Amino acid sequence: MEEETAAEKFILRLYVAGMTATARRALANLHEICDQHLEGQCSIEVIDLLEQPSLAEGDQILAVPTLVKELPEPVRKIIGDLSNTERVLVGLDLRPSR
Amino acid sequence: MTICVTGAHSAFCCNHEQTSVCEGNVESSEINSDVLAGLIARSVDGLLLIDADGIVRFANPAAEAFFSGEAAPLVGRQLGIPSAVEATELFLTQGQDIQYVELRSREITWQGRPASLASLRDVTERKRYQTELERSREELRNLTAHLALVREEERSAVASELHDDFSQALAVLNMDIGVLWKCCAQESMPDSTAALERIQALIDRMVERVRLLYTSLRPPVLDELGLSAAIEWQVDQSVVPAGVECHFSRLDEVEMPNPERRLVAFRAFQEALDNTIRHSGATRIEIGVERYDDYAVVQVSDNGRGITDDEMSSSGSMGLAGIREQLRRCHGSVSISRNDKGGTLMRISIPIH
Repeated sequence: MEEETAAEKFILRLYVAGMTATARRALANLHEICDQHLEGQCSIEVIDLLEQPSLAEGDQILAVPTLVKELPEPVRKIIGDLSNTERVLVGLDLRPSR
Repeated sequence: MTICVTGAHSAFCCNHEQTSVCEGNVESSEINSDVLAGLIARSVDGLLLIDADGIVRFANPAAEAFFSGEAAPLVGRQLGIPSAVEATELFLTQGQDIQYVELRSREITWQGRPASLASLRDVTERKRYQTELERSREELRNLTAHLALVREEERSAVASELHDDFSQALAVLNMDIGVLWKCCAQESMPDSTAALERIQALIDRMVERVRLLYTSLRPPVLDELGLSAAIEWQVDQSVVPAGVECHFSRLDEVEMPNPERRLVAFRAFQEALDNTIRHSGATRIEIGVERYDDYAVVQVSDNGRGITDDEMSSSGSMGLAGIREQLRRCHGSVSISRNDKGGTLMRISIPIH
């Protein structure tokens, strides 16, 4: 099945704990995915839990890096450095899980 | 609830109480269900089954222990869909202590739907050692750079003293000896004039030695005429006396207004040339100096025995390590490789400004 086109804006939050090598990789991979698959129609907020630890509770973050797709619904979470693009696209509901 | 997991080489069904091998889904079923359950339960690595919605459907005791700060059990909670091609590091936000785990995952089919089988390994200690090692390396880099700076300052001070004090004193001494020689000559004192001539010859030799000393400590040509001229001067000083043939493939005038970077580029070239003359066994050296974009690039290539893979992978000489560090601090670099003649090619690159 072909990839669906991003029709509405994606609201994404990337939770990290300091700009570690893994966090930097995750952010770079996320930007690349947004550019290539979301036609730039996404808003990315990076939340550093070292600076704002209380924000982990809102999205019930258990580990970081975690990417939270708030919109479009349903809310989904993806963990890791986001290097597996296929898994990220499935997580963002841009590609059906096989 | 019972969960069946089917991987490429194994399959098992499990719930919190028991684990059993799925019929017909494994190539070898020699491991019985009790053994498999025991292995999973006693594994020091956390093992997770995560469904397509990122919800944990199974967690062994080690995995639960990683999230022990949580009031609710891990199973049933949304951890997230794993996305990593290779092992990736996660920082666990729950619990009292700082904890890092290495996540590995693979896609599987579970109850006819895609899912992930993930393992978590505690790498907190390894991470701590890595951090300590990195800090130690940073301290070593700073120390190396500081020593290089101190050495250059001392060289500069000694060169300045030799040039300004010793050379001047020897020149005055030589002139005074000349006056004495004239007096002795007028008074027809042959023994004295001969002695004064010997002293003058000695002073001339000392003047030349002092000149060589201070120019080698900090070649004035570098600051007066620039990098390319200094490289030419160095070739005359060390390559020609060593009896090695030298050829300039290119010798551009590269303006380097920053004196620190100019000096680092020159010292790196000196080290490369010294290594080539002393260790390569080369009979011919080819040198190139050029500007490439905003970088000065100096290449030293020889027809010697060629650097070995072991030598390339080793940290190298202390001199080269020091140069590498000084270049790094100036956003420059040095690369060492085999050239097409089987010899060694050293390439020094440093920003001009």
